[in-house]
Amino acid sequence: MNQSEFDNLLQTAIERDLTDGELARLQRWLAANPTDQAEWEALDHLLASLPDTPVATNFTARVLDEVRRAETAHPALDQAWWQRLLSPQFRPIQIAAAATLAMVLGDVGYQSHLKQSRAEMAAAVAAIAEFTPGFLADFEAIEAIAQADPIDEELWAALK
Amino acid sequence: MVDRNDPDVALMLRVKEGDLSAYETLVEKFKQPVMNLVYRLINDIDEAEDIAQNVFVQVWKTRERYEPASKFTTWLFTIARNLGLNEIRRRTRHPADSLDEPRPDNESQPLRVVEDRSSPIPADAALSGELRAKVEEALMDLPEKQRTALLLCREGGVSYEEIADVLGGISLTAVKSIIFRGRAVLKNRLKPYLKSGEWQKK
Repeated sequence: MNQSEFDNLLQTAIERDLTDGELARLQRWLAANPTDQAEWEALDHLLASLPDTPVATNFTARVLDEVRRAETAHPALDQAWWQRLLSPQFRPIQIAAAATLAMVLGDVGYQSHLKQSRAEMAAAVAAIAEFTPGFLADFEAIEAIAQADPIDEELWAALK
Repeated sequence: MVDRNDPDVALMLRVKEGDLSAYETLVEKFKQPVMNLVYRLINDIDEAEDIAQNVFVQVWKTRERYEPASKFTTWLFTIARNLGLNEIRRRTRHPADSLDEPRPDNESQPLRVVEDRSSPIPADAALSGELRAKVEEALMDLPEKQRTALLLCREGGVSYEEIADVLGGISLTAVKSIIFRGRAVLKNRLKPYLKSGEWQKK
């Protein structure tokens, strides 16, 4: 790589990410060219020479105050997770959980009731089925009477 | 897995158990690098202080979730970056928000009480005021990832692997490329100062 290629590669670096190969070529060039290497080091020195951002003298005290305030507001932090769930801050979750439990229990009860009703119904149907042949015979006799010719009134009167 | 005997990890493990004095030691040790990062992310000194404090409050609140799977600073700088990015997003959504606007609920109170700074910028700082301003300006103009990566490099002791984690688990090649791109842009903008050697003047 020559100086022109190095400069081109620098320009490419401004425009897009470099590949592993390009990065390796740049590093090889810098290692072999003290002038360019010195410019990079100057840049690093510039960044390192930036002054630290001023920090308030009471920074740590304010952080600790905030933490203590948070601890007072939510002392449950030291409790187990399931204990924390019982604290008032999780009231909506508690209500939702109670409602869900009630719905599940209600559904289980209802399904149990349906199952029992079905069993009773099946038993009743089975009992009826045992009577069916005799019952149907009587039914056919009665139906035959109903479908017989009307009574001859004059003959009936004579017979009387 | 990081060595549990690493001093920062050991401190954080004590914090995890609720040790407030260990926590205070951590805050004291890392308030400066966190402030440096957050301030240069959002470019607002007062807001940066609030966010930096919030970073440490978050460390305390989420201490039980801490696992020494990586260096403590990786975890800390990730929180700092995320809170800084939240602030940048908030400003993007509400560009009219200003610290000068009074709070409706307590207008007579000052917006925040900020103490004197413990480390005022000395007059004989290594960089002249103008050059420092140029560098800060060039840094602020970098895309966020390039800026964060360069700032983490500047803090020292932050490896490329850590930077990759802080930037959301990107590859090492991507980190190298991001840092190289950031440097290339800065070099381009600060070329006159680099060539003249002005950065060496006191």
